[in-house]
Amino acid sequence: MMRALALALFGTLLGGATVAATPTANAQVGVRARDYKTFLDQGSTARRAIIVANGWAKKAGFRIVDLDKRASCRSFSPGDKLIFIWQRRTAMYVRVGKQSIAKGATYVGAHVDAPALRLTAAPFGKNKRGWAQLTSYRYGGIKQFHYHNRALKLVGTVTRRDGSRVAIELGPKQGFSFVVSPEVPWKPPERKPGEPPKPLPARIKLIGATSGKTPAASTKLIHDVLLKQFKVRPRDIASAEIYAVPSMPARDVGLSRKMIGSHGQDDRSLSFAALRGLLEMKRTPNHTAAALLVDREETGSRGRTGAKAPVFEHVVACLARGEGKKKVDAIVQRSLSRSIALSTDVKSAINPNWPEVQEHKNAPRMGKGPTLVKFTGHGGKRNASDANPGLSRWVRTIAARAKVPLQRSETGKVDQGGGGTIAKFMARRGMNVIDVGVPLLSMHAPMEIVNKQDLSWCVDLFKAFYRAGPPKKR
Amino acid sequence: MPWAVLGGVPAMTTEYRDWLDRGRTTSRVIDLIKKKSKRFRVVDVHDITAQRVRPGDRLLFINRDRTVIAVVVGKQPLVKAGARLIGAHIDTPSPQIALSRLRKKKQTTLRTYRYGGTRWHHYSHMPLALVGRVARADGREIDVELGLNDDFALYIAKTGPRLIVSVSSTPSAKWPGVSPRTLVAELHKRYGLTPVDLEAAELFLVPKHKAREVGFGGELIGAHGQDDRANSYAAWRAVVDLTDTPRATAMAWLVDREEEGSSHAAGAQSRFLEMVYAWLIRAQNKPATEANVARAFARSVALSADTPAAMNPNWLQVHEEKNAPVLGNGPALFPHTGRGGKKGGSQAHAELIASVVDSFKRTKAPLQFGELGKVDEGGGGTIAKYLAERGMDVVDVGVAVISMHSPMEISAKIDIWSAYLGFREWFKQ
Repeated sequence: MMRALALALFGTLLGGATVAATPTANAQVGVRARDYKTFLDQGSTARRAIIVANGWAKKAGFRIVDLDKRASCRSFSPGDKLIFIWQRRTAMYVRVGKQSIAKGATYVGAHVDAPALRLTAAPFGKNKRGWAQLTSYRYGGIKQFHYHNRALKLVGTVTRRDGSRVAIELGPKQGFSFVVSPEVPWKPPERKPGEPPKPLPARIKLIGATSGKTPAASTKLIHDVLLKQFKVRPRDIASAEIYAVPSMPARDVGLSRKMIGSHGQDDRSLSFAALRGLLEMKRTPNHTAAALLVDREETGSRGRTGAKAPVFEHVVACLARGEGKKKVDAIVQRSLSRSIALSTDVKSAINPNWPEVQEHKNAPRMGKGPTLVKFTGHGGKRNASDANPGLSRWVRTIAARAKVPLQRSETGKVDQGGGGTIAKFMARRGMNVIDVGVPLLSMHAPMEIVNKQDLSWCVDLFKAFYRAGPPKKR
Repeated sequence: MPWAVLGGVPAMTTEYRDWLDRGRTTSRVIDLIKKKSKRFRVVDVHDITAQRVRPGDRLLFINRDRTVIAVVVGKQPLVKAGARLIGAHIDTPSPQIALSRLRKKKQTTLRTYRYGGTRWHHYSHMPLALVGRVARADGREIDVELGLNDDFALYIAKTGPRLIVSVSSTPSAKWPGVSPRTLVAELHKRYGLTPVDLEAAELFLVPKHKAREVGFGGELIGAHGQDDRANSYAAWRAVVDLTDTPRATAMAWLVDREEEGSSHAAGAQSRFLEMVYAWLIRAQNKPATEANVARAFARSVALSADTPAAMNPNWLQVHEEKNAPVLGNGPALFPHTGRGGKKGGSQAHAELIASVVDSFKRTKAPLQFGELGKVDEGGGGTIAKYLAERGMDVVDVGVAVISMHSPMEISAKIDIWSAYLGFREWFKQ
């Protein structure tokens, strides 16, 4: 049965089907893909993604729990739907289970930040010769030249001097875009044939105006736009977090429209799937189930909203208190070590144009389902959380029951490619964690590509995972 | 003050963006011109039956759907007064699909080569569309497009010595019994084309994104294909908007294949211009002898309107600061083309330069001077030399862009508007 269904789905994916796909499965893939594109378009920063996610969760009956107030961690009962938020950028969505939190919980973690250009603290230069320019740097591992010559928008948040916050979006909504234009054709940076150009050593500057003005006039132009549109004064930009992201919306890719091309799919694809799986789960799970959408993965998970911060501890303590438990600290430790977790991040799929960087037997393929990664890491695969085989088996069992095909892979060839996820930060807390990913092409590029069917399978898998809870025997 | 004459900029910007969005290939630009040049009569240059033209007549000469010459006949005969001609090109660099492999049924990737000086890495990780023209086995030519106005895009996920485009999500075609969607299949479904038809096709990959406004306040336009659809637009619009009959015949000469060296039957080196001159001379009741055509050429003056690279604030080191044109300061005029000695001399006469400067001054449109920095990879150039070879006095003047030849070239709205005003005034003189 599973084989038949999988075959049917493969058939659709490949365009000309040998076995007819079930229409319900097809429709579900379509609906999820549509919502996912909305998530990408509206959630172009971690903050915005959390706003969209909260909106969906609230619609499904979730309520926000204020972690700062002790009184809010009171009298939770099975079936409660809770949202815990840090700094507006990281959130955990919890379905309280029938069992006590002390018996452990089920987590699916993903990150909502994505690599992009980010404006510096003082982005306005002297606008020599009247250019209205903004200076930016790299947030996460991007290749600068990918951001050249394409339409960008500015999105982010500014905190004004009086403490009020304002969301900024400058781009297509106002009828214009920004562009980084560092190259002219006749004098390329020196490089070997076939090698991509070296990134420029200088800061990346966005071009914002014609140059036929005085520097003062162009500076005034920027200030006027900011003041008029957002009531933001230039000095306020020092306390801002503004990203330059591609202004193109998420769109279908390929003749058979089976893929989605967009910026920020690392890792908003699995943030979406983690949340979606939780929201789609109808019945109260046996063990408490939670989706973690965390910020700052691309810069090392540091900071108050990163996976290194005591996010889990706070939530579990709150949940324990909500059950009326007393020795909360001990319960937190016990609960975490009894929990199982999926660290979900995108995984580089075999790129038809670049097959040589992958070891084909150990790399995922587009459209063949989520991939289970026992160990991530780089070099000889160090610096990784290497999952134990018991959990690996448990996830495979869950996947088989949910009729989700599962691939197996590593992250790149040994000693060549590699990558890290938030798995190790979960493992450090004693959680039993394994990496699961969706195959993706062009990771960290302004247009990353994910297969719709793969994404939908991820939702199915996570849903089943939340429902199943930790295995009886460990 | 040039900024005072900005009145028509918004309307022109709308039309110009539409021009760029719809005119994705040379033949589509020609279609646009045919549709939008309302009072112009399309003339077959091979038709030499007793046709007569009078001053003020508006004519379109079209060569192979690739080159167009828009003419407003002047008060003075062509032989006597020559013409005022603005030459620009309507082709633009982009990857072109290699046809040799296209017939394969299971093919889900396409191989490409460069048309003009494109850089592969610019086209990676960017939504792409396929546009072009196919000559069917039965002889009919049809325009095809895929992904341009659809809800999907094609993409390239790697750059290398050869650009390979993925068109479908199939990791391989090895699945038994499954035939992936291929380009051939899709083109068959949409246009009824067969693999045999596709042997004679000209297919380009262009960025899917449409022309858009760039920067604070949107003073700039970012789009693919502005080299040289910016100047060809300004030149065409200038001719179309000539309300009074000019003294000398006005011509906008828009050619194909500039990016490939102009050596094509529809390129700037083609004798089509001579044929049009001969046709007009005959229609003005003079013998269309070679001597008369040569005389008309010698008495003509021309502007070669192509896009120079403007000063790029992110790349100042490659510019000569004092001589590089600056976006927003008007079109750039180049008295020396730097190829003067090479090809029969296209060093402009002072009188011609003065007439251009004067035209811009009269309309209060900004104009700047520069030195042509456009020495392309592999050696390119403007079509000025081909005009000079014909004995015309020619000078380079054109709207400047930054990021030339990239999928997102940037020009300033004011420069387009200014070029239009200046060109129109120059035709009138």
